Amino acid sequence: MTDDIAGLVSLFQAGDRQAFTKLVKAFRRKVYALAFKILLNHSDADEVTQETFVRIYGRIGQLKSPEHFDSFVYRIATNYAIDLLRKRRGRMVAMPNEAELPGTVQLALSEKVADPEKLLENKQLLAAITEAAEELPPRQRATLILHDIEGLSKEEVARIMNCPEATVRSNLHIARSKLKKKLAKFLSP
Amino acid sequence: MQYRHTMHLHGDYLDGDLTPESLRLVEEHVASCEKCRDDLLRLKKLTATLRHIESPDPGEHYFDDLLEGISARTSSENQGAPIVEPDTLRPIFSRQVLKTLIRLAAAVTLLFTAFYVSDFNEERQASRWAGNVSPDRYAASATADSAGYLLQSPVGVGVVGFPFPPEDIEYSLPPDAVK
Repeated sequence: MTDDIAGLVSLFQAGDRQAFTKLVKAFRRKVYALAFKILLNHSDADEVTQETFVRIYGRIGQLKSPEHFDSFVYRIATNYAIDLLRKRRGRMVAMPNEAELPGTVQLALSEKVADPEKLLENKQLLAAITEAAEELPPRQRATLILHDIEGLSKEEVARIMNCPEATVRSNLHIARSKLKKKLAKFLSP
Repeated sequence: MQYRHTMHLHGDYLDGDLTPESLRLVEEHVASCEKCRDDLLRLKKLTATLRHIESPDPGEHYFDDLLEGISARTSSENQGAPIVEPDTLRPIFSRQVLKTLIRLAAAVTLLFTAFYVSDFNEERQASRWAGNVSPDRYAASATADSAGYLLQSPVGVGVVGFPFPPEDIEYSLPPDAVK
């Protein structure tokens, strides 16, 4: 798979437009999912996804190692999402709660639960996680999502966030501590 | 031996990023410290929950439209060929160097302006003492002189010229300067 991607990247760098289309198809779901988890709404996630691929198209010449294409994609998407998050916070515009709008989408827990009581608890837990994540500063939020939700290693997160691994470690520790505090009633052993 | 909690290591413990020595330290400590054991369990529960979070699936139609949108934008903006930005197109100066240069230029401009204004004021004061040229007339004269000086300079254009005093001024001390 990695070889396929690296091959497509090389073809794309040589000017093959079909290769670009194949790369978009291979990564569009991942980019959308990441953007949604950072921004927590569909319209912003859509903007990040589109802009990420347009930027990749323009900056593919900057990528020296085709085998690191996934980090390159994640880096562009994360940076754009963080910028958007900062802009949204700076403007302090009251955004409508997308979860309440008809036909919109929201985060979910993948575990299939038959017990209605457990389902309700999971819904509440998810709402609490979303609320706690919204209060995290953009870089801490992105670090937590890349590492704890997307399952990337600290080394990969450091490459994506363009910072030392020690910074990833520290941001992760702070973000987890904040979440642990906010979600105390759900996490009691 | 000093009693130390190990909470700061719990994240790395769960991620499997601890050295064998730190790993042993955490395990030994957690076995005897209820507070740290509780913290570790909470963190374990949190990370396990986070791993299960999924973003919604907006559907295949959305991703098809997305691909069309991206194709339209990239082909209309770049006429079908990827824009390759080679490293050679990077700016000559880094942003930091550029900032320093701009600050330096601003400082030189300020210094020059301050020097020019102070010199100009001295000349104007001198004309007032002389009493035979009005400040307005002197200002016009000084400007004309400085322009003339710049033009006549043997070094060429760009040389900083200060206004020569107008020829029709007779210098004299103000009346109260002589006791």
